[in-house]
Amino acid sequence: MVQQVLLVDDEKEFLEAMAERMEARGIEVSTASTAEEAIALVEHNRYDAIILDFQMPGMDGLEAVKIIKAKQPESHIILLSGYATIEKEGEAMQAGASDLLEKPPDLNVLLQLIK
Amino acid sequence: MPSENNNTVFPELTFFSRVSAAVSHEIKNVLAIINENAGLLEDLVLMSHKGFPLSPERLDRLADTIQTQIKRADVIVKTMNRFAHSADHPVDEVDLHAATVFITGLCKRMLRSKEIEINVVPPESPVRIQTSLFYLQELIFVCIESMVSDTRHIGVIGVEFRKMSSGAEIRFACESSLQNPFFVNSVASRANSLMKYIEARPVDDRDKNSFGIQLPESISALSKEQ
Repeated sequence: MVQQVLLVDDEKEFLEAMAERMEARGIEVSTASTAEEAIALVEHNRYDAIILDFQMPGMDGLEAVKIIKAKQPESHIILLSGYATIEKEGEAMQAGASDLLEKPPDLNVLLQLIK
Repeated sequence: MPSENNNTVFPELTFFSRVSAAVSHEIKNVLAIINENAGLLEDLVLMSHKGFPLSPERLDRLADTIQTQIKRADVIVKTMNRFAHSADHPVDEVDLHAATVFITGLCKRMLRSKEIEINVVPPESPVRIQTSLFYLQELIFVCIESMVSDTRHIGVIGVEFRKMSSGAEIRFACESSLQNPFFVNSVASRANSLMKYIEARPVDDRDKNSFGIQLPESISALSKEQ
């Protein structure tokens, strides 16, 4: 079965390149550039994994994780951060994220986590 | 552990650490874009080995994206370098408009995250004073921080400058009421220390939608050193 992933980041060039690389590996990717947009997509769609940027304009990734988890407790959320400190990792896990990766993420590691 | 937002253990270093964190975060974003686009380039080459045709236009676009991000990183690093050198002299001749534009530029991401826009209005003629550039920048930063900490949506903040007989005034204003840094718990203590260092004083509020800072024409040395 084709995996469905939602990729959320406010950096358009990152979003497009990452989506294209994942699609080349057989993953179906939806994208959003804000947390609000991502939450709207989650309302009507199910994803095998949601990859979210930690810091975004408006609602940040951490807040988005809490809302998405409240709507879909089974969702598998991976947060991406400029600096994945232990402190941030704790906050991310507490909010309900499954993993926290540092930017730039290694695509192979990310794919492993999605699977 | 002090929190990322309020380093109470080393208040003198808070400003420097906050700016360094913001700048390094920005560089990480640039690196992430370069990394993904370089990875995409690698994917295309691998596919071409399997017989898929390589599109020169596609390669052009990828190279362009990478070059644009390298230029972006260069600007970020130059900005960081300029910021670091702002602590070189205890007292400098400072153009208030230029200093404010520079520091609001450094706060761009923080402002964007709260969807706040800052409109720094250029004065008709340059407003210059002799002061500590570093502490003045920090004071402007603290003012911005107090506004960003506001939970309400405040939209656009205007910053204006005016020459006075014995110095200059910076005024922050917006359409709704503004959080005055001298009364916001998280920053008030630092704001007041900085005011003392550069011999500035808050201007009595004409209304709740603005606040001002009056700066002397010159300070001979930092007040904290006297």
